[in-house]
Amino acid sequence: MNRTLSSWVLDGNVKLQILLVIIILITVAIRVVPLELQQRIINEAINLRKPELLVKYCGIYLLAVVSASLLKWMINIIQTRISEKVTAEMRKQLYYHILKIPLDFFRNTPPGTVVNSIINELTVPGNFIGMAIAVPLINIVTLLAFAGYLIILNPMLGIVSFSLYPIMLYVIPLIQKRVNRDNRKRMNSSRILSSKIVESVAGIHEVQANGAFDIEKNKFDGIVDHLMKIRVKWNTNKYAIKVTSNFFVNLGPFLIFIIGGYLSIKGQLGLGALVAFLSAQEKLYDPWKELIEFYQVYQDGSVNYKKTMSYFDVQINNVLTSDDRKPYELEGSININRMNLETAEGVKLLDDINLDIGPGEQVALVGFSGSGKSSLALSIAQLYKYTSGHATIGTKEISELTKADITQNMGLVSQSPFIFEGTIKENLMYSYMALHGETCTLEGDCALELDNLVQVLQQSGLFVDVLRFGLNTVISENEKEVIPVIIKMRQAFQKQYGEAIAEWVEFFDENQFLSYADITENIIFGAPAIDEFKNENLMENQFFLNFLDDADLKRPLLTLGKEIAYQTVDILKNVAPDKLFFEQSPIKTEEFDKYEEVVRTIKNQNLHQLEKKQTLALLELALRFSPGKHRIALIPDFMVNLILEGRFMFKEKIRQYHDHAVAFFKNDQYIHSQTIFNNILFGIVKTANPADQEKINQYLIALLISEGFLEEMIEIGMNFNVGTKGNKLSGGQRQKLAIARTFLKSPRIMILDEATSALDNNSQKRIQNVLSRQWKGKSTLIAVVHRLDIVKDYDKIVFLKAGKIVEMGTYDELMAKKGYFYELAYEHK
Amino acid sequence: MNSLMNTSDSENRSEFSLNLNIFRQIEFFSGLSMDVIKLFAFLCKRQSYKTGDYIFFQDDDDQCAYYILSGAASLVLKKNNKEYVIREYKAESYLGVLSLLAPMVKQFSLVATADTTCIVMTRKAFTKIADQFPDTILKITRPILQKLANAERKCIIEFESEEKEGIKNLLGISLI
Repeated sequence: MNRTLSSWVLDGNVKLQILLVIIILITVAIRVVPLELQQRIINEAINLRKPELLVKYCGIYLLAVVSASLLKWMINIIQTRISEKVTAEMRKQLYYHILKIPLDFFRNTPPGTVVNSIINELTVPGNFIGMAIAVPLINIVTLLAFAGYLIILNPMLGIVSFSLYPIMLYVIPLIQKRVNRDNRKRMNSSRILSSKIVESVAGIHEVQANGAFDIEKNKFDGIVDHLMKIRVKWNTNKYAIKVTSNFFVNLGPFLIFIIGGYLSIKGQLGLGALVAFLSAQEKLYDPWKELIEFYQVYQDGSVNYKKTMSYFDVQINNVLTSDDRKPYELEGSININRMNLETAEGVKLLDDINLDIGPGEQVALVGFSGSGKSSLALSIAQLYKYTSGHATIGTKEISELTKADITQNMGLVSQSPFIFEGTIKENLMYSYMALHGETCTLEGDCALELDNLVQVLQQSGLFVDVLRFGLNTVISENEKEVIPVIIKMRQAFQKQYGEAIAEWVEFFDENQFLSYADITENIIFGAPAIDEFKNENLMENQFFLNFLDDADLKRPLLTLGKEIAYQTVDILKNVAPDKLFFEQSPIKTEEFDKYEEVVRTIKNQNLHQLEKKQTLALLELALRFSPGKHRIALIPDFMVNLILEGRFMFKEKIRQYHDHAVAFFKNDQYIHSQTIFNNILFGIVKTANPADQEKINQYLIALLISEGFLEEMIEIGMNFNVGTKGNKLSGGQRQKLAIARTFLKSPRIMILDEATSALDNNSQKRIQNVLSRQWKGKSTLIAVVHRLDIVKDYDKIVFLKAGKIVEMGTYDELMAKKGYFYELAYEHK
Repeated sequence: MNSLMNTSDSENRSEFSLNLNIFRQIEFFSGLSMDVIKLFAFLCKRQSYKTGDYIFFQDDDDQCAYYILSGAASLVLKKNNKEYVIREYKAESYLGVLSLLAPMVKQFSLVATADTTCIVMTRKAFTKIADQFPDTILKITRPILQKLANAERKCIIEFESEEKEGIKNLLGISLI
């Protein structure tokens, strides 16, 4: 972080920079050729009427121009390569540095600032490095070459031409100072803007749930307007530099015309020399312009670079690895002696802590919130740096260990574990892979068997969730080999469990109406194989619309659609849009305004008076209606009969229209649009009771085991993508996944910081049992616990109050003592 | 034909409309505006249980309140490996309203003693409604406090007549 911007110029780019200089020198030399040739063409070829010289000089002129262009192109390629290489390297180094900055720093650093710094602010410094040698060199040498040429051509005119440059060298830096000041302001404002965007996206649930669109919009607009004002000022001053520079450059020819013209009239200067002079004078413009641009990039790049690097110039508490040794294999014992943790403001988070934990012992840290439980756990994990006293793991002082020592020996599960975008499997292997390395894990000796993964999934209780993800997968076209197996399982399932689950499942039966499917699914009774029969296109499908008419379904559907629209709008008219409110209605959150308008327009109209747009809107709504799911309206019996009649009519008609438009539900056919679960079930679950659903799951697991498909299903489930920050998982599933990944790492010391707080009672107890029975003796455990009914099996319970240990002992000892722990336990009961 | 299509007790009425009628009569909700009661009726769900099924479990915060629509259930307390049946609930009983307001572990289990159907309201749905209509919590709290005060009054009467030491501990709870 302490590197200067200029130190990047030659870093790893020496060969490219030398090559650049050589090419530049050649280019400059070639650039002078056309100037000399202009004079010769006029004075020798045209004046002396020598066509052969004209052809020769023009040929050389053309060659020089072509060569100069090619060389310029090469220069650009090399420059780009250097710029991009340096930008990428700056990004990598800054990112790697940021990953190691102590956690305190991120309390005041919004993610948006980090994103903005790495993505945007390093681009200009990178561009500067690409230009750092080439641009000043090429243009200064060109300027000097032209200056020398002009002075040789006519010393007086040459000196006059350059007389304006010192003025520019004085004025431009003055304006640049203002540009730099505005650029710093722009960076601050951009950081705030990026942070705002990241915050809104991260908190989008809260924004939408509260309907806080206007609040967020106003905040955002304010920041954008502020940034706009700064940018306008910044750019205005930047253009002021360009305008000043252009003005002085354009004054050049004016002086040449006055003085050169006068000398030419007096016969003291040849016409060819004057043309060459004017031409050369004009050619000063480009190198000068490029120099000014370079100057601006240099200034902007310096400001961006310094400001970015100084922001992240934070001392890293512990070095990552030690150069002269491998990470320690530490003993599992922990000894804490007079440890204190004090904030910069002098608040004591931990006060004179003394604690000895033997290898393989299990210790629970309990106390009220704010008592210092987590601070103690995180200090042991080196995430907080204790301010005085000693803490050792084995015989090594924690504060002197490298990060590699800690990660080698310790696993940490926090209360809100972070789950990365990717599959369950990738997240599960995260800690293990970080410890053993990607190559060793994926291709080498550390490769894991499926059994290893299954074992930790079972220990953490995530096994059933993963199985469910597997069952809820819609398999892709390239996994066709499992289809016959699933069809076989469907038949076995129906045979073995069909009767047992009949009351909770609606089986696909051609002669039965499906209450838990929508009306479209009831009519089509199959999976659309062509786009025009997919739900989103049905209202443009004339065949389908005509069919609804022919089957006498249109008017009953319109009546139903009208009822749904009226009811939904009436109930939800005064609430902010929230997904939960719309789960009970076929109207989607984003469609509410549209249907509110429809309801308002058709209020006093009869069905025959509806416009086409309104008719389609109501039809679409009714077709999405599923009586088992949307309890807002009722389907009359006659309509159910019409739909069942229509199902057969549709089947017949569509065959004439398109042979393969729909893959109808048949017991021996796989339904590609449906999940594996629905394919095995060949129906839809209608019970919402978790106990009933659990029974269905148990039957399915029994089937998977008997058919030898359980492991394959787990593999499919582990490929479930958990979404950004694991958003597709529940809080409990995220915690279970974090526990499983620590179990997989099998560390010598485990720290669980309220790691099971989002789990239900049974899951918490299950994990506690696993810890007591399978991990006791193997791993030292320090658990911050808020539920006191699960601490009975711990070897030691440590009660903290205001940063101090006030009680310590086994469960029975503390209960007998009738002190703080007893009081808290009693309160919990 | 599926029962959803045609209910015997009230033909041609949707489940929402039946729920609305019930919610209007539950004492905790009676002080609320029609707009809010409609949302409750809209967001609650029906759940069926067979005889012997647990509707909720002791020591579990299931985050739900229940209205027994049909059937019957026993409130059961398990302590020291013994089971005590506290009381029986019949149709039209409403249980667990406190679970809507805050995290609250159920101190008892509820077991269906006949095939039972409940209307279930979740804390999540309740919170969403309360976010939109902030006076909902206040209006629901009033009858709850009234019930608490009534319960204490009964305890005082019982204490006066029998002077049970166990009851003494409960006295003063309305002063929290």
